[in-house]
Amino acid sequence: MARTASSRRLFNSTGKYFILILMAVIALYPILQMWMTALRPSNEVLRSPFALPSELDWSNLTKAWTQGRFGTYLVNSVIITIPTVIGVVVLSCLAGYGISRFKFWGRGIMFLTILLGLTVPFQSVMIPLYYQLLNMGLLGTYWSVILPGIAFGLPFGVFLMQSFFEDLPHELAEAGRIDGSSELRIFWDIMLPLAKPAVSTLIVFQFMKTWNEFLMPLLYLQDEDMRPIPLGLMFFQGAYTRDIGLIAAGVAISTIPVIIVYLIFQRQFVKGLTAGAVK
Amino acid sequence: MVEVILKNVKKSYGPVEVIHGIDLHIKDQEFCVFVGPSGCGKSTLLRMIAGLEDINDGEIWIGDKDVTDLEPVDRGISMVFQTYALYPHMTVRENISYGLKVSKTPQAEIDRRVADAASNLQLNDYLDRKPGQLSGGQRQRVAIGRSIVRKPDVFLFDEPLSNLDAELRVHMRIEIARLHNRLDSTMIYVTHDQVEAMTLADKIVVLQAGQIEQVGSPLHLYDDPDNQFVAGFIGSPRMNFLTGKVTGVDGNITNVSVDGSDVALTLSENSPSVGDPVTVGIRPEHLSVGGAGAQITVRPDVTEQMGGVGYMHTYTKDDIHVVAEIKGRIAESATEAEQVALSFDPSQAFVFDASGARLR
Repeated sequence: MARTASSRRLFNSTGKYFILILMAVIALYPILQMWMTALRPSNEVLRSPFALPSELDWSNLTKAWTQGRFGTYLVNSVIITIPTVIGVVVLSCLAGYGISRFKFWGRGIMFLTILLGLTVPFQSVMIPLYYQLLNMGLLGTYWSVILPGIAFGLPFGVFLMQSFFEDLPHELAEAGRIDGSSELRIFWDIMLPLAKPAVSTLIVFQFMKTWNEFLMPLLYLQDEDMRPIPLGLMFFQGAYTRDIGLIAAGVAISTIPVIIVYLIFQRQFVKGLTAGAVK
Repeated sequence: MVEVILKNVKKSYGPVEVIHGIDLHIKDQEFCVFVGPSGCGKSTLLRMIAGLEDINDGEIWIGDKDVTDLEPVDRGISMVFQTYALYPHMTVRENISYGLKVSKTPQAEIDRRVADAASNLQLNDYLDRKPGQLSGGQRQRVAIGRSIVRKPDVFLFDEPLSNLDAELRVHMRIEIARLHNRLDSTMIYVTHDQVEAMTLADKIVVLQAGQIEQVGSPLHLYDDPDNQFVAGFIGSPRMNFLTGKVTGVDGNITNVSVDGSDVALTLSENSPSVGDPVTVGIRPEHLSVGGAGAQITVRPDVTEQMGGVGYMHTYTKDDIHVVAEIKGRIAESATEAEQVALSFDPSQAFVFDASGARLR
């Protein structure tokens, strides 16, 4: 009897682990394949594309960095991504906190209007936005991607932060008031540190979204020296269509910052995803 | 002299008035407890005194200052919340000192006051821990510590013990009583637990539906309730209420038929008329099995043995629940009987008219 129960348990857990390992392989294999291709000597790429590299060859990475101008693209991506992420996070935190904490007239409509932004696809406004940026003299500057990037990031950011602040106990803010804190200080000293998981989640999401943004810079940044990584990757692919190892190296380089950001915020990010699930 | 005076204080949420014009005078160094059932407005009233809720009408005075429109920090109060409301990302030391930092108190003074509070509340070993690493009782002590370092004129407590287990509750109740003796400050305490109210208060304010039902010392409310609500709310187990009808009035003596028995009650101030329905209230400890005095016949249900005393739960023939407190042990066979006669001294009974007002 006991033997049957324990073999059933073993079978169940083996089955669970099999499925989990299979999922992990499906998720990780393309990344592994990309790195193997990037680090494989060029003559091996077509001959044995799925085998382990016979030796580690860093030349594709150095070539992509120098010939593909990935150094420039990386700097451009950083110039665009960091202000966009900061803008979205700062404004989302302030707006989310304000909407969750203060009961003012039109609060519900304001929140719904912001949420409505989630349903507006960029393609529907890209042409009017082009002319608007042109009229404002911003076309062809980093601002032409940063400002719309912030605008398109805010609906999700405000939604996320509002829900998080809404779940924080209101007594904490009241205790702050009794202690003599101003509203801004309550936000800064008490509520914002508690919102770290949500802020981390927002940073990771917004970073990935901005880092991978393709259409907006394609339309509004026409100077080659201002191109961010996804755009650079496209032109790089066009120029080196036949050199798969080189293209894989370019793609690998472009993913490094996203992986670093994810690893930095990963612990808080996971907390943020599950926040509010259990009191 | 730090008195708290409420003058015709009202509060509405939209068109619904929840506090209906409260007048109250809490004396300097008094321990005043607001009690009442859930939703009676006791916490709202406390929050109005704290300045966390605006008031729609009336005035609130603390000491010689009209604080009605002042921010909480300018009222000279501090508050301990039901949920403790400790800042989870700060250590115990940072939690206790936060208010002092905000008010830009010199660091040396902050350190001195935190050390004083920590030693008074036995928190010395926990100063560098975060609230999440503390037990419920320790968290409550931190909340009290945060409150006392600011040296407020008035301490406000909003059901501070309701999240603790029974044993810790008794312990913290004694701690709070000691704190009041040591600090000699005015304290206002909200609870729905009438044991806390009876043991801690100098003055109890019984609230119902946003109105004060009665104000007085714990024993005054117990011995001389103004109405049926207060009589039923103060005392544990609660007072038994039996329905009756006035059968005759002869001077100070009013005869009331209760559960088929005639009971002669002395009412010298306001006699009802013959035929009036009344409610007769008898505290469980005033009922005994057998014995002399007026009698009611009941059907035993279950017994609860507490050691020193026991409670016999019974029902009248009209299915009214009656609890009798029996000194010593109750015989196991007590519940086997079909009927039991419970007796009481009519002079210890309370009489209420149909509106619930006390007839004396």
